[in-house]
Amino acid sequence: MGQANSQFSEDELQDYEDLTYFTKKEILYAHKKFKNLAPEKVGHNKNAKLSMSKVLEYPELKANPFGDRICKVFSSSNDGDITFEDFLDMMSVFSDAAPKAVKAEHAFRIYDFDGDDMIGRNDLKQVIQRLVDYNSDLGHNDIDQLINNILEEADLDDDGALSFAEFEHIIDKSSDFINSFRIRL
Amino acid sequence: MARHRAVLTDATFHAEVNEVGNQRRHQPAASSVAMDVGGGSSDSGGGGSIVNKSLPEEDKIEVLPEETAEARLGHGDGLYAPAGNPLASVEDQFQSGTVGGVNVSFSQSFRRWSSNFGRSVKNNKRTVYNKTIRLMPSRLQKTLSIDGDLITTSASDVDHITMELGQREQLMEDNPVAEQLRIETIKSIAHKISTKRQIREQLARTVHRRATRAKSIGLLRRYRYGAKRYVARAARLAQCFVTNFEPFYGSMKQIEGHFGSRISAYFKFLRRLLVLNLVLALFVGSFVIFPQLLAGPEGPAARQAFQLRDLLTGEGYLSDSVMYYGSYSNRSFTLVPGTAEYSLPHAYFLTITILLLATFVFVSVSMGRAYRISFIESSATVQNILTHKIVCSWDYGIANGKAARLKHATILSELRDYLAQRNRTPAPLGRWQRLRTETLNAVAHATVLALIAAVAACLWAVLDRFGPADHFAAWSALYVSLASNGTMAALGYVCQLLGRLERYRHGATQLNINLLRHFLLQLTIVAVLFAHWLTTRPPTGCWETAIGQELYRLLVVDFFISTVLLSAVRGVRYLLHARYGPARGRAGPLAPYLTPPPFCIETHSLGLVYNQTLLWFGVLFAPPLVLLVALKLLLVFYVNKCELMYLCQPPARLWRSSQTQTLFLVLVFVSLFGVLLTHGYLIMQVPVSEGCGPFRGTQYMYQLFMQGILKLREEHLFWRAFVYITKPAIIGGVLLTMGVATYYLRAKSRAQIAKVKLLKELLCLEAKDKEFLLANLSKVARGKDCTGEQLDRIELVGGGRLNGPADRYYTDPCATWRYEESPRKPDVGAGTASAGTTNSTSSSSGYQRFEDEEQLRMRRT
Repeated sequence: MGQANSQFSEDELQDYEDLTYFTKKEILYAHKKFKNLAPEKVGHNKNAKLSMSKVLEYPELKANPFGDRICKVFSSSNDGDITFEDFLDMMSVFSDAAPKAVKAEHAFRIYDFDGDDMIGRNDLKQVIQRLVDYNSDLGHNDIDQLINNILEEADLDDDGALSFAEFEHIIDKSSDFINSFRIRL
Repeated sequence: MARHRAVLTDATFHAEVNEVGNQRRHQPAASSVAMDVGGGSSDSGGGGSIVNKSLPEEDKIEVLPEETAEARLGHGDGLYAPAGNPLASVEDQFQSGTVGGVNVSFSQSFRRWSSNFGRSVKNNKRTVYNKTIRLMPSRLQKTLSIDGDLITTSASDVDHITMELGQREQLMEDNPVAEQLRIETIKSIAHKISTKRQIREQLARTVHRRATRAKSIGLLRRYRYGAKRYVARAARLAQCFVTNFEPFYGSMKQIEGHFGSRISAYFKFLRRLLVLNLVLALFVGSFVIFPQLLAGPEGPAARQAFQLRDLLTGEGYLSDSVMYYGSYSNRSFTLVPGTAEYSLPHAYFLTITILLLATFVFVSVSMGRAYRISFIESSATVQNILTHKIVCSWDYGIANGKAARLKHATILSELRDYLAQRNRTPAPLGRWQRLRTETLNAVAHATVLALIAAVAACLWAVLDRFGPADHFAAWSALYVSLASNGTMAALGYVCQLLGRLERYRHGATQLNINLLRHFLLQLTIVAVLFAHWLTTRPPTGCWETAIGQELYRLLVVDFFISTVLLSAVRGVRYLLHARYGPARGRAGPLAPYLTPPPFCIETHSLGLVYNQTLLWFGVLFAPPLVLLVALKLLLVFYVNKCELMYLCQPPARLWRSSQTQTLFLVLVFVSLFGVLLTHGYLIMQVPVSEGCGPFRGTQYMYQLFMQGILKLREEHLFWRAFVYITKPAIIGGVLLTMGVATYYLRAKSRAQIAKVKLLKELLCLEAKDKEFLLANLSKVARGKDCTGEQLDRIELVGGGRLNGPADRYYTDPCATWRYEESPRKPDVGAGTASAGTTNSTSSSSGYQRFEDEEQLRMRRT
């Protein structure tokens, strides 16, 4: 497979293959992508920790309004800094092979800005604002109305926030989620 | 599972109430001690601490230390105590609640619970959290600290998950199957890789420990596991192969990054057809074309010289080559004399029919699956339109600033549309207005149908004029295909224009209607061509080859018109736009019209469907067409990609990608079905030409197959089975059974829909009850006076629910309120039993004093 000069031993690759949804070749490819973000640092230490701003240069994350949230959710130090394992984890969740439930759980955590395990009104507001790129075209009243309508639709137990069960319920019925929540390696 | 649990939440809610009541009655001092456990569990260490940690705060208050000890004793190993399994604990609670609840006074335990609730009323949201956290798919309870933050220390997570996985027997066996399952399960845990690795190590250790205790496996089993392991390894290798050789990986990523997944759906469709055709080409090539080349041509016929024009017209040199039906031999041949013979006619017939049928099965299955996923299973999304727009709207594959801006703008406009639609009071359409729209629609439909009919008639006339003419030396062979393809492209635009004039209220309706019209047009053209060719077969010569040539021409001309010519037109449009368009600041009179050309997904996809239909028709008459079409699709892929990247602007309004793909699959299915019917007719009813082709010597194509069967002896099993199956009674019976099964399944699905609706209503009602109760309880617990109004409301709610055992909760609120009215007496005869309680609650409100009083009263009675 041409991994003689790679930074990984066969055992490490096998280990990653067992823990993610990737094949060995894809893992090496992912590492190449990771290395491209900071060639000298990663070339020196294959598991180097990159700062969030560095990781956000990855094209898909750069274009994504939730890029920083993604970094925070996948960061093992919880501050947005990403090691290669975190990166691999991220790409594995966003890959085609990952099942819907795994994707849904991470999506929930990405949208849960305050980390209280509920998507509340503030979280929804942030999500909407980020989706429209803080466009002032959509006023506060409009956003409030949108939030009210969302809760009306999806908040089954009327507690003013979306729990994971409710979120999963929406996702489960959606055929588009799995298409949109995906990043090609 | 998770959703059932959501329904259960309310039940658990009551069940917990009961359990709490039971415990408290037996052990009044419980709460104070248990509170300490909740606080100090982290330092106590050992198996017990794990158990306690795993329980959410609310439960911690209630868990008796004795019970914990019991659990530890009963199960020996603290790591595997069932109390650590959140699901088990929930179910236990539920069961104990329903069983014990019958005997215990509901109102009493309810009051117990409410008093507890009052203590933690400032955290009342947290109780809800605990319920939802239990529903996380990792089946993991996260520990909540006192102030409601999540503590997710990885060490405790690892322990929880390991513990939980340890409960599942089939995961913990020491064999390759269980190991595979284990790997899959660990993969699906939503945690960091390091955590997963720890979990895996712990599990492996446990498995190993258990395995050494168990006896070694037998020889037979070892072989079986060995076989399974090889199968798993082979599957993984195959998967590896498929993922590593995904065609156009880079291009797909580029397209997705620039335009999102909805446009890439078209390219995926294209890629799918290409792969399908390549597979067909492989089989046709190896079973039909290659043997024919080996067998060599029939006799020394003088072949015509090759001209470049032949590539376009498919005549001349090509007409005698292996390209067409006519030049296939009807011999059986053998390369090494004395070995088995290879019968070309049988190979030809069987390869093509089996491939077509297999494709049909494949297309139907994938269509059925896509339909189920994108239409049936997502039918519930109709109620969640907005939430969908928010949650699923961002395309994570976008990797380009321009595309991201476009996406932001699209989302904004969608949200604005939604708001406008919500805020606008649906103005009742006037009778005249409705009449007008409907007339408009009817006129448009009639126009389109008339146009299609006119096209069909004209095409027939053109065919009559140029079809039978001997055009072996002229370009006139191309007239028919030029005419039909040109009309198709032109009428496609006319349909689009008409659709725009009609002004449908929903964009999706307009797109669908356009698509259907366009598809109808294509079907008509293909049907007319075929009807003409089949009805006016020349009496001499090889009509199969003639049809093959026509199809060849159609495919080639289609490529030049719809791919090359239209791309060139788009290129010119783009150049005009770049030179004179509004972007350059030159406000010419034409500037607003010089937009960059749109990339129209539906036209392109319909082109592919048309292409594929022609191919399926033609494969019987010209097998190498498969190769030709595969090559063509490859070119189309790159041409389209370049167009999209450099010339076109992505369409502003798009369909939902999954539904689009399903729709195209449906169209492919319909056309393939038509093709199969026609082929069936051809094989059974149309006599083959006598002078050429692999089937010469028989009257109909199917006879070749029938002769093969007839050669079998009368008593042969296959023959008997064949005769038996084709009896009308059997066929009728099969049809009848299928009808009954369909009816049954349909009725079942309807019943399930009704049930889901009922359950949803039930859930809403329960949620409302719960919310109402919680609000009232928190008010009471805060010591507020209960006004008459609240009492009325409670009575109202109670009056509404008169069934079920829990009613006394709701209909008997008086005990609580009675306390509010009753004069407060000092505690008399609290006794030794309640000493602990009085101590612990000395600082709490009068409410708890009342509760202890109640307890005493209960004990006395």
